[in-house]
Formats: sequence, C-alpha cells, structure tokens
Amino acid sequence: MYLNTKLKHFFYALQVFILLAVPLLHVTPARAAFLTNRSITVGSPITSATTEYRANFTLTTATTLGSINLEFCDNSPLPDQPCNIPPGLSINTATLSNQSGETGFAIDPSSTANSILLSRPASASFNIPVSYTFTNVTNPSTPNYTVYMRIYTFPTINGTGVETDKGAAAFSTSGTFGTSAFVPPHLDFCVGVTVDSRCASTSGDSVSFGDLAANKVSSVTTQCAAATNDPTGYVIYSLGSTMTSGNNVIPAINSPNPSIAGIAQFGINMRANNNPTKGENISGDGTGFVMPNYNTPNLYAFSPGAAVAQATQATDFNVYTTTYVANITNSQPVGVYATTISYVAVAQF
Amino acid sequence: MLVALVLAGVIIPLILATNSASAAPLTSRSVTISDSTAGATATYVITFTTPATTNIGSIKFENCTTPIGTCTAPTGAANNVDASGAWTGTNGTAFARQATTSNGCVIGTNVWCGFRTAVSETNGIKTLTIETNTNQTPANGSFYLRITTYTDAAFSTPTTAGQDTGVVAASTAASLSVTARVQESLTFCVGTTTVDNATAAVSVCPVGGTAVDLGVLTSAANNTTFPRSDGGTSVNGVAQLSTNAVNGTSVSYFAVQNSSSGTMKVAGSACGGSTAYVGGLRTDVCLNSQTTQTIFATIPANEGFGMTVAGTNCSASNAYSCVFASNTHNLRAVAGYIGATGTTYGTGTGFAWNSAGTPTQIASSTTVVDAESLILKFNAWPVATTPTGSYTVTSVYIATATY
Repeated sequence: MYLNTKLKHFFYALQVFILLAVPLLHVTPARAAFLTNRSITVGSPITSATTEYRANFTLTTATTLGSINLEFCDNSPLPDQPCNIPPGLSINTATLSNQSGETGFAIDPSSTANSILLSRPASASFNIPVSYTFTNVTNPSTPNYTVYMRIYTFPTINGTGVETDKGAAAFSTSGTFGTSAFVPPHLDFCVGVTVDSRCASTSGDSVSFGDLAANKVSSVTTQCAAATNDPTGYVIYSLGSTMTSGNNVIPAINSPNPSIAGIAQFGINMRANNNPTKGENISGDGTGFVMPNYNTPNLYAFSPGAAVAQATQATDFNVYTTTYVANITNSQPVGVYATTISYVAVAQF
Repeated sequence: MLVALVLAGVIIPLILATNSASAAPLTSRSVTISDSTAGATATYVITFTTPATTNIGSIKFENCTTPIGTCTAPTGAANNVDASGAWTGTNGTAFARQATTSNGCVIGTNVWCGFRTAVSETNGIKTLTIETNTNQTPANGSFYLRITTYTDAAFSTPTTAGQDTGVVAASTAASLSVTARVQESLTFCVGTTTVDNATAAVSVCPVGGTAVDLGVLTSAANNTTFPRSDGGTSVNGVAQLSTNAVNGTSVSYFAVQNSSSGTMKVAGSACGGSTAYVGGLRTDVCLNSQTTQTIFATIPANEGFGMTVAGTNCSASNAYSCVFASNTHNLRAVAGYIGATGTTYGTGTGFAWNSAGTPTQIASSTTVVDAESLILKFNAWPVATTPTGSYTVTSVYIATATY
C-alpha cells in the first residue's frame, strides 16, 4: 500500500516533469545562413569533357567547420528539393587539386557521382572567401544544359546534422560552333606602265619611244607584279613580236647584248641599267626572280614567248620593271613602228 | 378599482417596455477594420442606416464578446482612445469623446462614447470613424460592436421610433505569412544568327546553328562583310545569357586545341606562328591569330584572324529597359573585344583571337542579365601566299555567374 502510494507519487512527478520538459526539448533548428559570392568556374563547358571545376563562395557564419558538401543537380538549386543527377556528370574520380580560405580538406570516400563531400578535422572557421578546385570531372552530356551546384557547410566532419551555411550556384554546358573559311588557289598578277606593289592599282597600258633616231638610244619602261600561293610558284612569259611598221621590222636582239645607237635592235631586260639609265631591279617581299637572259644590267634581249621571270614556290608580291630599248640605223624605213607585248603569268597548283 | 389599479400597474409598464423594445434598429450595419491582426492598432469605420429622421446628439459603441446580453470586453481590446469620432451624415459635425460615465454611457476600455450638439439627421447611411483602436488579442476570434444613438447630447434619450441600436460582428485574423524563394538561374547558349545588328529579333536559347562559314577568303576584300557573298553562310555567332546573379557574370571563350593550337587553320596542321612568315612565304596552313585587337587593313601586309563583339542585342530582353544604342544593356564587351566605340554596332575597332586554349574574357555584367545576346563577328585575312585550303577553328564559350 505504501509502495503503491510512492509509485503513484513518482509517476505523478514524472508526468509533471515530462509536461514541463517536452516544450524545452522541442528546439527549433537554427536557420542556415546563405553563403555569399557563390560561383562555379568550369574549365571547359563542352559536353562530356573531362575538365576542372572550381567552387567559390564566402562563408557567412564563423563557427566550427568540419565538412562541405557540393551537390550537383539539374532540377533545382534549392536545398530542400530532390536532386536529379545531371546525365553524364561524373565526379567520382575528381581530385581536389587546390583549396584556399578554409583549408585542410580531403575528398571523403562517401562522395558519389554527383556529390562531393570535403572533410577535415572540425575546427574554427571564419567568414572568408574560400575556393576548392577539382580536376578530372566529367561534364554532363547534354549541350546548353544548366547544372546547379548546391553547397552546404557542416560543423561535423561527415556532412551530417544541421548545415551551418548553404547556397547554390549554376553553370551551363555550352554548345560550340566552328568558324571556317576557304582560301582558294590564287595568282595575283597585274601589268601597267606602273603598278602598285601589291597590285592594288595599275596605271597606263601603252608607252611610246617617241621619234627614233640612229644617233641615240631610245628606251621606255613598264611594270608587272605577281604573287601566288601555289607551292610551285609561277612563270611570267612575254608574248608578242618585235616592233614593225607594215613589212618593215626593227630586229629583235636574240641573245643578251648591249644597246648601241645606230644599230637596229629591239630588246628588253628587268634590271636597273645605266646604258641607258633606265629600269629598276626587282622589288617586293616575294621570292620571284628574273630569268637569266633578262637579268644582266645593260644587256637586252627579246624572244617572243620567252619566260622572263619566275618564282619556284609560293611567294608574296614582287614588282618587275621591264626596260625596252629600240634603236635604228640611218636606213630604217620611215614609218610608225609598234608592237603589243602581252605578259602572262602561269601557276600550276 | 383596486383590480383596475393592479391591472394598470401591470399593463402600463408592459406598454412602456414594449414601446422601448419596438424601436426600429439601425440597418445595413457594417464595420471596416483597417488591420484585423490580433492586437493590432486599427481604425474602425462603422457604417449603418438610420431608419427615420431625428436628432442625433450622442453615440456609443461597445466592443463585446457577444452581440447581446451583458457586454464583456474582448481580451486585449482597447477602444476608448480616439478624441474625436469623424461622422458622415446630414450634418458632418464630429463627435467629441466622452471621457467619463454619463447616463447611458458607462465608460470602459472597450466603450467609446461621443457627443455633440444635437442636430437633425435625415434617415440614411451614416458613418462613424474611430481611430486608434486596439484589436483583441485572440486571433481568428469574433467580437461585436454594439452601436447606440441618442437624440440628446447626454446619452440620456436613447431612442425614438426608427432610431435605435444595432450590432455588427467583426473578427481578428491570424496573419498569414507567404514566403517564396527565387532560385539561382543561369541560361547560357551559343549558336549562330542571321541578325547583324543590336535590335532585330534573335532567337532565345537554345539558339540553333553550329557553324560560321566565312566562305572564300580574298586578300583584297573585307572578309567580315555581311551577308557573305563568297559562299559563306552569312551568319554571325551569338552568345545569349540570362541570369539572376546579382554579383555579375563573366563570359569567356577559348579555342579548341587542334594539333596543339587553336589557330584558324587547315585541320591537323602545325602552325609556325608569326615566324612562319619569312621572305614573303607562308610556310604553314594557318592564319595568324591577332593576339591584340587589330584593325585589318584593306590589303593586309600580313594575314590574320580574329573575333569581336559587334554589339549586344537586346531583342529578347524584357525584364528591364535594355537598348544597346541607349547604353542600357547589362552585358557588355570588355576591352580587346569591343567591336566599335561607344554604343555603335560594328567592327571598327578590330578583331582579336587567343589561340592558346586558355579562357579569355570577352564580356561581363555587374548585375542580372535578361536574354542579352552578344553578336560575335569573325574576320579572316589571308595574304597572297597563304596556302590554299579549308581553314577552321572551333571555339567554346563559358559563362561564370556569381550569386
């Protein structure tokens, strides 16, 4: 009887204690603070690429920090939502290659294909910027695809319990596009009395010796320029005939010879001469050169259809200046002597 | 006689009582409470219709837990504060607060009485406005305002026919907290577009297209003219960004490495860089990359390849006023890739290209961005000796947002 009374008192006391204590035990979880300055820098956003991820954020709460969980989802950055694993994403083989701010972390073996748990012995942390770089991450396989990285910090070393801070960042896989163009085979060639060094312009298409006389040497010049991307270069030919007036002819110089007043002769070369003082040497950045018969100063020749200049590889522009000499004897029949010289550049490609 | 007196003594009081109880009530009664939160300070606007024309010199309203019977003040209610009750009726004179008990006005914290010189009020809608009431503290609980009008100013002549009391019911309400969170967002895509300005409509992500073909290049013409007439695809590149990252976003690109370089070249070829241009001869099938922004001359002395941001197209942006020409866009090209000065759309300041494969920033924002599109233009200039071939390079674009 006495025992029953004692037990009743005990249970009454216990009930009172429970009634009083239960409200005290109902502790509302502390609300996690949001991490600030959150971003993720992706080394390459190409789908399925093996690349590097760098997670950056600033800790908001200065407290004990033992673990950080980075969770990658394709449906939502919100921490209270289910997380869908982005197709193709794999961070199982990731390596923590760099860490700054709060350091001493290592990847916990419990990490999964879309969740990295960084763990360290729990220690005090500060509200400072932190950064963690992971290499050997495989991107999701869908292009132009948004992926969210949820971030949680914990005082525990295994990502359990109530998180201290949390937040999210996002990145997108990217489509790529290629830029293409075609460089065609080309031979740039121009002829004129004068030409621009890169064939941007030409001027004139005829020259005149004026009145020929037996006691003087007559000379004029024209120019041509050429360039090609043909690996075998080009050849420039001069086509045409010596100067004629009806059936009367000023003979061409068959082999390189000087220009002499009083001798009937017509010839050309591509050098700077001093007899007469006329012409210019080849100029320009190209690798072209003048053929031997036309490459000796003061020696002239003319052979219809002969090659006068050449390049043996792809070459930038060269400008060739052709000097023409026309001399006559006293017996040269009267008349208007003329000729048309055509220059042809040929590349093989 | 005694019987008659007894009957009269019984009947007369009954008649008097009946007259008192038969006065017409105030009709169309209502109260509008400015804040129904429990315990809140609120203004009560009491509206009712008087059934007959008569004087009104004083008025009382009591705040009670029940509509009839003994009036018990609701917990926490306090109504006897406002010094003057505004009145809307035939005569607009307000009622001054009666601070002490007077006849029918028995003062309490839940009772507000007011008086004025009695004036005639035509029957109709009347409004009494009492400010600085404290609502009862129980939430979601009803309370009742009992209204009485008096023909004199001393709360002593309450009713005549057609003028009486009325009751309106009200309730406090529990406050409802509505919360929501806008999640972090980032939509970024690249593609191609036929748009070549900052205003025409650009498709929203995902933007289609994967190739920008400049066609046949010549050394004597601008190879970025648009549309292309030499077999090109007449499209520009486009990189479109939407994000709510308030701390800004950086947009970068890198050239995909092919045979150790991201140079515009014939695929698989090795490039000699600028040293390959010796003696007028290109020895590689690669177009030199313009490592710094360069304006290509009409006839370039040396070949080059580059990209620039011609402008920011705002056609798909709706969240704010975004006009490139008005400089109200948020996504802006950065130095080295600004196609034209100021808010001019174009390529006048030249092109640049980083072939090293490392990310290079081309644009950034300092705040949120809504569907702004960078129009990317490319230019490739061969020289006379640039070997023939199909040149290509693939570029990748990255948006890094900070929330």
